[in-house]
Amino acid sequence: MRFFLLVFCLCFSTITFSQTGNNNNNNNNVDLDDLEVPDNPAFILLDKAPQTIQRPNSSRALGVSLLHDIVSEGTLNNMAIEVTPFWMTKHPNITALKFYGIDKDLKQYPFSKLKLASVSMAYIKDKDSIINASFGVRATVFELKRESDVKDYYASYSKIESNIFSGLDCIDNYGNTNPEPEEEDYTSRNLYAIALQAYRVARTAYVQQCEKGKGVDRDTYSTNMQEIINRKPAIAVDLAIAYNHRFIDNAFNSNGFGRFGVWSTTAVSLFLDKDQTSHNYVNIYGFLRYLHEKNNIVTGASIDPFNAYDVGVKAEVEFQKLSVGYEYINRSGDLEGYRSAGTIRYQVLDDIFITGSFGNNFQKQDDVISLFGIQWGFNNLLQSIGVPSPTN
Amino acid sequence: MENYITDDSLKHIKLEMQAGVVGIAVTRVYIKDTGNYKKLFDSEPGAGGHISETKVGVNRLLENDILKVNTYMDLSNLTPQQRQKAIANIYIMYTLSGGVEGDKNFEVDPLEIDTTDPLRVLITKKLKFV
Repeated sequence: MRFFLLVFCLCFSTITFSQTGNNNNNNNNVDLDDLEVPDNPAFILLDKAPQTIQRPNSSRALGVSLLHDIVSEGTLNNMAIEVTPFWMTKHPNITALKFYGIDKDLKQYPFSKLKLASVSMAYIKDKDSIINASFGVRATVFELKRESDVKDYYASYSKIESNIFSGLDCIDNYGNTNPEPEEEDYTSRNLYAIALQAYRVARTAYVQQCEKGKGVDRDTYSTNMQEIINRKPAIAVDLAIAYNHRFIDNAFNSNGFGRFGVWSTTAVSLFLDKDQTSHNYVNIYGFLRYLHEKNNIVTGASIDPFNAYDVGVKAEVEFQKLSVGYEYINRSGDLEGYRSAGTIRYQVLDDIFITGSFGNNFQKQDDVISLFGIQWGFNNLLQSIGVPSPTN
Repeated sequence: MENYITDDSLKHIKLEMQAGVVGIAVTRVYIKDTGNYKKLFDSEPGAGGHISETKVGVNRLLENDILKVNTYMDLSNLTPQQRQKAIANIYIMYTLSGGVEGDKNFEVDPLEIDTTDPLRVLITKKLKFV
């Protein structure tokens, strides 16, 4: 069963990546940049994520999530992949301004982030030989930026445009004295490609020096733009939907509908400092979720289907690379309970996170969640270390 | 080099370029008859490198000339994780019209994309009028 699901996940990632074209074959590899902390809908649906209330990150074309479990046999129990189809297809009408969600007149398009909707799949082996296959979709359906952020973005955009034109002048200068290789002058396309690459390397070095001479400071404008795009929006509303199918006793035939959920998160972000120069925020979240579940096997006995309604809030303080939060979710309907959990996440390096949570997780029994993981690898099991804690 | 067939008329040949890129892009168009390339025009500020239909010359005078279109894209507005994907997803469609072949589309060849600069991408398209 696990083999079947893993093959399915890998096939899916292969199919989607095959659409990226052949401009850069290196892009098809899963590398460290593709790794995500396990916070996609497929994990959240089963309450397997470190934090239930969070915002999507659609920066990557393919995210691979590994949750803490490396079981005693040395095999992975929980894994998920999340893909953002936007990054796998070409978009004839996209521009940098549209990508950010504005136009030349600085008008905001609050629904522009819908294009970055992501799809996730998870494989989770639960206790009592239950295997969960989950599928989820999530997107930011509404996003309102601060007026000052929009103005800053456009000012930075215009500055960069001007700098690029300076760069084009440098390219022209170089070309006037160093004609570019022409394919017709070479006996094969390979030889032409080699000559072209050598030419480009020399030209790039020249252009970088030329721009410096014109007063273009790439580091400064690039850092400034990165700071602007990393600012959190003032208000954002995210929507997620996920479905879970269960396989019992490792048998393919004993499968059935498991759980379905749809939920929405509204996030309001406030700068901690008045100057808004740091990336320190107080984030307040509101959370709504509907869950429908069948065949809920906890200790070998089947429980009747249920409908549950979750309402929650979360407060989070974010200091650069460290975020600490507390979430409380009340569950009503056919089931009653609550999730009360503290969460912590620390970015050690660009793509290495320590993430964890501790608290109560809805059930009346085995209700202590304690997840802690360090994540930095995919293909080699030794690259991922889990530190599971006792659950009660 | 790809080409576009002209005739003996004084009818104008026009270029339109649709740029679908998430980086900050500008475009400059050149023509070469003899000697070096001469600049014809640039894309408008804020246009994302897009060129709306613009005259590049008349049929009779363009024969044997080479049209070059440089689209220069800066990746500063993208996260490091997004940059490689942005390069892989570059969409540019060049359309020439007014000649014997009417509207003719040209796409980007991977060899026309220069990625030697970690912060910039240069896409160079050359089209010969025959």
